[in-house]
Amino acid sequence: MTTEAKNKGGKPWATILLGIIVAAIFLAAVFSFQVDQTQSAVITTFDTPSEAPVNPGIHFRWPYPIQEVFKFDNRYRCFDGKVGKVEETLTSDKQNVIVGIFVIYRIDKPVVFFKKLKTIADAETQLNTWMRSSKSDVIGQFAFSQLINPKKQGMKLGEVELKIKERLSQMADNYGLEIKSVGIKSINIPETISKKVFARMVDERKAAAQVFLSDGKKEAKQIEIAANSKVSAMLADAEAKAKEIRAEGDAKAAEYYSTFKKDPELAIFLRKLDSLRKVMQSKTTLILDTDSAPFDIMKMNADQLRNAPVKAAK
Amino acid sequence: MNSSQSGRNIGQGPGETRYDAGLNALVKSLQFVFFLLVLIILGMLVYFFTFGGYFTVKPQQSIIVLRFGKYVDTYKEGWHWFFPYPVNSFIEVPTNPQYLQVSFKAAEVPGPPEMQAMGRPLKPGQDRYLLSGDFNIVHSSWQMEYTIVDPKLYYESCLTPQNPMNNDELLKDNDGDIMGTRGPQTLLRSVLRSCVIKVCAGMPVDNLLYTGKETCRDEVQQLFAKTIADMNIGVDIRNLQLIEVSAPASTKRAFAEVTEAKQASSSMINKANSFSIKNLGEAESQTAEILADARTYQKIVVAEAKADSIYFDKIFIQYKLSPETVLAPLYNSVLSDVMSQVKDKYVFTLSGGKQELRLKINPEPPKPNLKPEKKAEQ
Repeated sequence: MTTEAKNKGGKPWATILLGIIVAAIFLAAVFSFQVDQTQSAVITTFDTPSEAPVNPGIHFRWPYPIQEVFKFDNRYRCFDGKVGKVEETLTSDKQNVIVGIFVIYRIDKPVVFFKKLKTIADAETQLNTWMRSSKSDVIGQFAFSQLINPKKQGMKLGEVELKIKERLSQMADNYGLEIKSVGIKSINIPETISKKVFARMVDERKAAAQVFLSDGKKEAKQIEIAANSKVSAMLADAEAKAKEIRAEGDAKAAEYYSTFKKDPELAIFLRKLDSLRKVMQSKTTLILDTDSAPFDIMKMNADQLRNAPVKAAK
Repeated sequence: MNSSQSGRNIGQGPGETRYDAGLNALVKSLQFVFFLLVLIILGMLVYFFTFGGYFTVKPQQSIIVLRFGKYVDTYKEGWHWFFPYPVNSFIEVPTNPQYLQVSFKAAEVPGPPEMQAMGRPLKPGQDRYLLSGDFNIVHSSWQMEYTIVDPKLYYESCLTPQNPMNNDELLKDNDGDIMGTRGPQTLLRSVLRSCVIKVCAGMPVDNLLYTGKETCRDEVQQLFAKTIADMNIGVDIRNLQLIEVSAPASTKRAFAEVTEAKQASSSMINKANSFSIKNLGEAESQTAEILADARTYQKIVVAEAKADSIYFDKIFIQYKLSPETVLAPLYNSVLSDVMSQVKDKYVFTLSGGKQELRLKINPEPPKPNLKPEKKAEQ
């Protein structure tokens, strides 16, 4: 056999091998499908869905039109509504509020979901309707003071969320959806009421400012009065104590003065002399007549001078 | 003459034609192109089966490996190689701290700053705000810090974009209308909004704006962290910041007046306290002075009395012995002392009958010495 003949015999095998590989890839693509970890899948055979969902992994299937595969992401997603987000709702005490809610949900039963809704857009349209009705029903059972309240015990937003979740769960379960949680995303009031709230807030603040000013004045006055009173009391106490100290001094001095009892006349005379010494200071103008000692000496005659020392002494 | 004969040229061998040579050249060219194509395909295959299945994990991420869509493992560091897609697929999940902001603020409207400061009524759906427990309106903005602590749980339970490293994707309905964003960021923002609303709806406005900001932040963080932990989505809330909380623009002036009044009030109280401290201090020093004076008086009085007593006793002994010789010198001595100190002395002899005596006993004080210039002026 020549080389040319050998080549002619080898080439078809290589082509066949390549063909087999391509065919295998094609068949694998046509007859298999992958379901991701985050997905569930529903297989329909001649448009009849299977009863059990398909779990993650690689699976066999018959090609279209015998079988079709529908995959759904089964992770939690957050939806806050489409239509009617800002529609007003009445509370049980007839107050208008605009409450926005969100729902965290997932496709729990893919077969049921496929049979009843099929797409996420359909599901969210349906959810939106349920959310509006549930929200309206539940908020209608609560008073406005239960939505906002300065005392935490009086505020029931947690209960509102739970009740809406319960209602939504009942409805969504029939459609293969699981409601994980419901939350309140906004509590607003109509535009006209917000104007009035602003006016009230301004009035309240002005009143509060006045209260602060008058309280400050009052407290300042009280502090001043208390200080003055304390000062007066302190000075009065000090005067009383000083009086007591002086009295003690006087009493002690009186003890010394008891020695004057020996000759009161002499004592008085001595005191008078002492007083005279103290009283008569410089710049004093003294007017005396010649009868006063010692000037009386100026009028004495010889007889008088003889007796003078005795008189003077008396 | 047939076509092969007509195509034969001079110098060509038997059986060879001009077309055969052309065909050969074409075949050779095609073979070369085919060979190049095979090389490129082989290169691509080599690249695909080597680099296509190779990855390194960056410090800010974890990589989840799925085989035929099924979870295999999560890699947090190093480099790895797996058979590439469609057998294995690699999901990057961010594990570094992530930050998201949520605000409850009025939408910005075009206009001068004065107009903005005056504020306007708030439109639901357009402007965001919070209602306080005592039915007041406040604006605030928050920032959360979160980390994905369990990438597998996060990827499996929480709807993420195709690439979880990206921001949430916009969802459109069948008609192409935007239905909003879907993804973990949307979920976390919504839950935070709910927690903020619940906490603020139970607090008076003064607490939210002034005294209770820290308490409010703590309560929201606690509630938010608990809610997310209960959801079990592999996310941990690390921190929450209350960036800003303020009154609506149209009420800001009134709120500022309250602050000013508070300042004025505390200023008045401070002044009163200063007055009190000053007066009490002065009173204390006055008290000390009064008591010191009294004590001094006591000492002086007692000392003088003691001195007088001693003096008396000593004089008394001499007086008993000879009264005249004691008293007369004493008397004269005092008189001379006194007289010597007196500035003006007038001694008259009164000789009976009416007499009139006029004395100027308080003469005008002498004028102070003026300077020579002033004297000249005068």
